[in-house]
Amino acid sequence: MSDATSGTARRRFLPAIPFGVMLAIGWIALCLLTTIFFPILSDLSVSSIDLTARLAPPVGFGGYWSHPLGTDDLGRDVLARLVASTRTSLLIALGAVAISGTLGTLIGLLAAHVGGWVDQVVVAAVDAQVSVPFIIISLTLTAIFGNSLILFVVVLGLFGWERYTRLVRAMTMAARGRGYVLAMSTLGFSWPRIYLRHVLPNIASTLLVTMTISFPEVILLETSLSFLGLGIQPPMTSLGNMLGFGRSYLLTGWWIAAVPGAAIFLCALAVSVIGDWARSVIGRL
Amino acid sequence: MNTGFRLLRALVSLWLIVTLVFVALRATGDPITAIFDPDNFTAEALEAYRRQWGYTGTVFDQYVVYITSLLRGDFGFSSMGNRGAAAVVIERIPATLQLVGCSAFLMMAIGFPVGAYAALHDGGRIDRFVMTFSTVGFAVPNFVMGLAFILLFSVNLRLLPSNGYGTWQHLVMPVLTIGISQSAIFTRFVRSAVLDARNLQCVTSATARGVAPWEVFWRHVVPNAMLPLVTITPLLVGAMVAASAVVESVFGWPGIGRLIVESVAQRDLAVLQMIVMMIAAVMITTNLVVDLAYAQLDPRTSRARAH
Repeated sequence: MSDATSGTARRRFLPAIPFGVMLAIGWIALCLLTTIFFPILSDLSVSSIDLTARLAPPVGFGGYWSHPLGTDDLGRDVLARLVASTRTSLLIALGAVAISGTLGTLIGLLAAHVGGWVDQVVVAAVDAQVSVPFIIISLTLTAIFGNSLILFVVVLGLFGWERYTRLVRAMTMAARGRGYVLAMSTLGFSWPRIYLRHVLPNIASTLLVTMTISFPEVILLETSLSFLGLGIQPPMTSLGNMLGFGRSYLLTGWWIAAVPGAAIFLCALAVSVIGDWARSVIGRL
Repeated sequence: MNTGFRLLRALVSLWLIVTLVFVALRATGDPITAIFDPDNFTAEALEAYRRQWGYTGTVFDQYVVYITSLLRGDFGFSSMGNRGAAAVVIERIPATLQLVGCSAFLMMAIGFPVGAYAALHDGGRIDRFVMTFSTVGFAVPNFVMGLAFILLFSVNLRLLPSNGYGTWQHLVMPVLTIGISQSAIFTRFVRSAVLDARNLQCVTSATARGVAPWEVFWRHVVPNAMLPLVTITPLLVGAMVAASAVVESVFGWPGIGRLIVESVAQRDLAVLQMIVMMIAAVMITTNLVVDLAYAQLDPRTSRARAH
């Protein structure tokens, strides 16, 4: 087959990607590439202090190229800290979404498979979770169990589990009535095998879209908690706690807060644009 | 489901949450040693605090003490304020109500007209602009918006105080922050509710009968669009609670939201548990009221159940 025909065939299956979505994907790719390659390409580090250039403004506001986005009150390079912070925030959000996706899926499968009172309990838990604002739950857990990185990721990993549970439960129940599942169970395949190899792949696209929609919310939750000083703790840095510290320097160094603020906004916007687009594509299929 | 059953379910939910809070707080070890370093305090001092805050006896004894004192309206002792937790929490309520009330008003003042206009001109330039604005608004965390307002109105223009409480000037920025960020989501809800209502048969038939467009809108579209909007009220209340926790901290607003953050940072568990219960009670009541109101507003739900 020639290249031209495979090109048209591909175009028929995948709808054209709108310009805004391309920009969003580009921004996320840029973030990921920078977090990987920046430490190799630049000698600026997160904690190195340049005391002669404290509170230096960014380039374009009277600053120099030695610190493109300026420095903070201790003379630490804002760009280097931004890169490290973005990496922390994105990794944590990714981990949290992976945890809640897995957890929610397993609970949903369990409810659909066992049924009966287990199902009732799961449905009640989902309803309860929906009615309480998650930030209150995460704050309470932080107060009770103290503040550590692992716990923080686990707490964020509880965010949104009920969405996956609800979806997986409903879709698995529907699948159990379908011919292919009936055929497999009649043939004597084990239920874990049927669920993992046959049911889940069928609903994976919906789950992935749900993850994309949850992702910006997790970023906002993580940054909010870190901003309040109840999330990521120094010496680690995340976009939220960078902004939290920058807040004290709004008068003397607005860029310390503005740079991570803009980064949070752009990351959350990019992922939700991608998520909206993915949802509309799934809806059309 | 009748009213009595709904009421009972709401009470059970409340009891479950109260119990969960108790289990979570006590399951994590001795609350006294969590607050005080045992190396720096004598055993008698620790014992005295334990008696003062009701942490004596077995876990079941503590649970009984806990429930009975809750029923008597005693929510424990705030280690941070050195007085009753109830007093500490209650004095913060007016500030939060003021903030949330004004913000909700702003949210609706933006959301209803803009969302309805976008839905009536569905697909047009304004509609696309509104949807883009809503996506962008959702991605701006409210603390970023709050800091941007401080940078603009306090640092650059020197118009408004950045921090504090008391005058209307203090109220402007927190209300703008919560109101605008919530309206980004609310506008979407209004838009889709109005869109759905526009496609109803009664609307088509009224238009076909030659009823004036504004009359179709007010008599048929608006009442039908209100129904889905009533059901999202609990969601909005929850979002307001979450937003106030962050925004009150940004603007030093002395309300419940900032008190949550303070109590978590200080590990003042008595205050925290009272706030959690209060929020749970508010959410449960909201859900109950919406449930009951929905049955009243939409006769179809109660008639369908009668079958």
